[in-house]
Amino acid sequence: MASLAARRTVSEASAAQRRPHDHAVQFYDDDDFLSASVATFVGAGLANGQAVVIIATGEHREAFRRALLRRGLDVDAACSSGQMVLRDARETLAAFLIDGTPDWELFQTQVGGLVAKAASRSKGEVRAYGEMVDLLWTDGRPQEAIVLEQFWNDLRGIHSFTLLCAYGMGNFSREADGPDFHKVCGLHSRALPAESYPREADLDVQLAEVSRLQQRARALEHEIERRKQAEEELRKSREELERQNKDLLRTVRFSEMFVGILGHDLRNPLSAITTAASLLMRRAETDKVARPATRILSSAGRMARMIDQLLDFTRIRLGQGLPLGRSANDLAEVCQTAADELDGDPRRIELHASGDTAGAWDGDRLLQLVSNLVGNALAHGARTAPVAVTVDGKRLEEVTLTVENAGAIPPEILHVIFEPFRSGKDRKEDQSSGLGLGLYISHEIVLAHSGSIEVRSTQEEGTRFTVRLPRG
Amino acid sequence: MESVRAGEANGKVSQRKTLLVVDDEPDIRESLRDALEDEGYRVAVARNGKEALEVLRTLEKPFAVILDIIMPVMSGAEFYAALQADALFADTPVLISTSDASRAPSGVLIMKKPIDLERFLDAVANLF
Repeated sequence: MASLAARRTVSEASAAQRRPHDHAVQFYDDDDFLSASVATFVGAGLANGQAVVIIATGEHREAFRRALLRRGLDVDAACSSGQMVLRDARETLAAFLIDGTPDWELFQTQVGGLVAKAASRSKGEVRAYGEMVDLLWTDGRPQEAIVLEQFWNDLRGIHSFTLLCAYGMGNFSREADGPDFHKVCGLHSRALPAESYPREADLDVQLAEVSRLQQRARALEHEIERRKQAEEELRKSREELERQNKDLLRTVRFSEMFVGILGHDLRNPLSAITTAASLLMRRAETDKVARPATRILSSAGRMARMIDQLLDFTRIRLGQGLPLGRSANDLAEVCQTAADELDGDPRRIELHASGDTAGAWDGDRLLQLVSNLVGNALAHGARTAPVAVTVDGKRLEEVTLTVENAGAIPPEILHVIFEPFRSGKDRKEDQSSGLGLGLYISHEIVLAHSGSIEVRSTQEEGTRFTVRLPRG
Repeated sequence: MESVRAGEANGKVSQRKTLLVVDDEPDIRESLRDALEDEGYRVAVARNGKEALEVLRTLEKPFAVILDIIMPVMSGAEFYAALQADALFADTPVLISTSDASRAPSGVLIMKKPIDLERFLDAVANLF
């Protein structure tokens, strides 16, 4: 037998000096470290004429054999003489499991038999190493492993032997493994740390290492607490988000219902009102009947426009956008139609067109855009000058529309002019101004055509809206 | 189902052309009936597509259909599909009067509600 190295690991030292009848556990990260530890434990027994029982995986048995040979121990001779018994961990385990659970009777027969046989050949002194508990733990059966540890302890009440178990540290890498780890330690008379523990046996170094580990454990506990809090906050924000999402979905459903009501349920009676009032107009023989019929028609028309605007607004806000039906259109012709349709003195609109004013646009939407811009200019512009509508088609890629009127937009309104439901001070004075959605929708119509719209307004130069429309 | 009611004989339409007005809104049905009868048309009405299919078989040609789209029992779109599938009626002129043009079948003349009566009557006159 080779002498032990001058500087032994703590585990080696502990294993070699193990008290009789104790039940130790060796934790390990690396197989070489385990082999060294087991070889020291077993080697000391063999050297003292004790019998040895090793129940390990094939890979470990081979590694132990090599480690013992390096220590100058004749493993084959020990096996032949019966001083050393090697058994496969998986096979031995299977021999005493019933439905996956260790059975005491079978364990006593199988494993107790091995120990008893070994004891009979060596003056009663037996050292046993087993890793069946490690297999069970790795298999995800910690409760069965704990039962097996109990069996080993019970067996030590029947037979006299020293026992070394081993567990890979990888079995206990989660924070939740803490209680099980403590349980495993509690089932053993001694727990031997894995190789990360300093190899120097010097007490001061060990104490320093324990302090360092205590600090690390404290830091980790703190970190775990912090992460738990973060997870809790995350869970709360996720719940909050889910709640908001549900609210949003509900709002969207309400909005869609609103669109349905506006689009169908309100327009239908309005259509009945319009048709009946129109019929009244056609049948009217005197102004006395025609005048109120005109008022009904005018108000119904205004209501229909507001419904259209609310529908457009809701569609835009629901993210559905404005559907475009592009076809060949002429912006100058659209402007002429808008001018013809708008009430008031036609002399107040001056239309100028130059170049090619054609493009692929949605004709109805363009008419809505121009009617809105020109209608606003007529309604709000100073009457000192006509409204100038200019269509410039001289550029190849786009057509430009400008609508100009005298008078300025108040600065406090100018910067929010394309916002929906903006409240101008003239809102209450001018009932025809509607809902304050016209320019918002105009802006959206231009955006849907990939164009741009801007406004300049000063007291000196008046107000000018400029729309640039790519030809599509 | 409502029967055909003779229009006022004001002589504006020389041949007795018939219009079937299909709409679930009674005020619209009756207002259109009044306006069309003022123009000298014979008018039949139905409250939905299913009724319209039944009334259609009682009408004398020439006739045309004024069709709402969103209706209970049988929608305007379903009625139009049934009309197209029937060799007897496939060539019937149809004018759709709807609050939601996006639900109307394609290739059909559409007037959006609320309708402009003058334009509506012009469109009806051009149906025949």
